[in-house]
Amino acid sequence: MAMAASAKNRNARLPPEVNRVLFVRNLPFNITSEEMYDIFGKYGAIRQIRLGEKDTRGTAFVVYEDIFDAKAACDHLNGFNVMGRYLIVLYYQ
Amino acid sequence: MTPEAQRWERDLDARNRPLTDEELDAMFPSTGYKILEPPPGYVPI
Repeated sequence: MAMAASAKNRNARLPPEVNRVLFVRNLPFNITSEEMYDIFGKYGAIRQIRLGEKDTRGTAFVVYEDIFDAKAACDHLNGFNVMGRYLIVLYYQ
Repeated sequence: MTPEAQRWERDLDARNRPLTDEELDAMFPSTGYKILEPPPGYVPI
């Protein structure tokens, strides 16, 4: 559903699976901290980012301070093209 | 505030309370991931 107002819809009921931790897949292997914070930082204050190494390369956990920021990031970044790869962004359960 | 709104506020506060580092460590696999240092100029919006 198109979010009419981009402002945080504070009183919208949040489905249970929505939470502040996003699991990201299909990241370029050589992505840097600056790029990660640039892409994900646009949606809100980031609590922490954990980047996969060796066999978990290309995946990451991104934790936001605020649940609505995480929702905005997930809604907008799923399918986002980074260096020719389409991001997969899921809520981490 | 209706009771339902109060319940919703409590639910939201519970899902939005600050996470400690220990809680974060407990949530994620202990190996295979490294914590990224925020770039020097990073200012949380």
